[in-house]
Amino acid sequence: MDIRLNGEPHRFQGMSLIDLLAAQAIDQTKPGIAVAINDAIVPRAEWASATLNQGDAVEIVRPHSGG
Amino acid sequence: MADVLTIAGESFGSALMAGTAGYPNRQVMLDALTASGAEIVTVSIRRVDLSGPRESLVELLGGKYRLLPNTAGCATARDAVLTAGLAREALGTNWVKLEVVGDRETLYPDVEQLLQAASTLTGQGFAVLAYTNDDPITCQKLADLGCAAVMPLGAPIGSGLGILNPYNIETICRKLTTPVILDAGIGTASDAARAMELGCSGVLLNTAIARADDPVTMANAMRLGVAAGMAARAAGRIPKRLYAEASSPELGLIGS
Repeated sequence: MDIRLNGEPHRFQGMSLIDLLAAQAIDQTKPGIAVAINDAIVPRAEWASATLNQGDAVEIVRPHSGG
Repeated sequence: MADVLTIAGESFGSALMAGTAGYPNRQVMLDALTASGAEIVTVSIRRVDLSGPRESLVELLGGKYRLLPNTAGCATARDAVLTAGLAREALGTNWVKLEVVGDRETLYPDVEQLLQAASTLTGQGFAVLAYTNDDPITCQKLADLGCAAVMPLGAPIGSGLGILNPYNIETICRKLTTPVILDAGIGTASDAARAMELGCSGVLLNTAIARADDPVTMANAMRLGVAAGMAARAAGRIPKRLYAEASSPELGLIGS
């Protein structure tokens, strides 16, 4: 399906958030990552059950340097 | 170390908070943070670079410092609230340094959006440390909304101009019972000392250390500056006078 991933068009073969995270080599056991789908935060406990739909906007963020 | 700063019921041995951006390299940042004595360090929340290296600040700093996420770059209350939520999820903290900026040139806060975001976030149980103007009225409104700390700017972010309106900062410190943290504008150690002398509970700075010729030495200077200012404030300075008052005794002066 076609989604937007961190602001860029992205096509991927899968239906679920964990498929997407795995495809992007995001280590789901480590802290420091947060995910939102269509501006709604997906708590880590719900990552396993979250499904994606055509056109969804997915944001994957982490702490970066800042002031 | 004795506790010198308490925010949202948590106490810290340093009144200096430091940023993590703009250092020449990672090792200088680590050394500078150590030299600063800071226990709270700020981070931003940004998209994971899906094609590049992924060094984890959480692994690098998380064990040693309390990471305080900011909402830097957000221009609307909506974006700031979402960013704070993502930060809470990523870092497992309900603390957030709330920034909602009105324009890119001055990075001055958009007060209307800031107050709206502060209201929403305090309602959601966040400990909000709100970056704001050096305006006593806005600071009072943020305190009344239940912010954990109010952080007026000394001067524009990254400007190094020091504290441009010390009278306002002093007024804000006198009026609020909420901790006041001087945030932004610090250029050198005397600015940090001044903030503490004016009654601030702490100082947050980044560029003044990160962009100094020698960040590690400047970090130590900032630590000393904050400590000196805090001590001077506690000691109680003499009143200012327009004319001289001799310190040596008049009595026993020869030729009289």
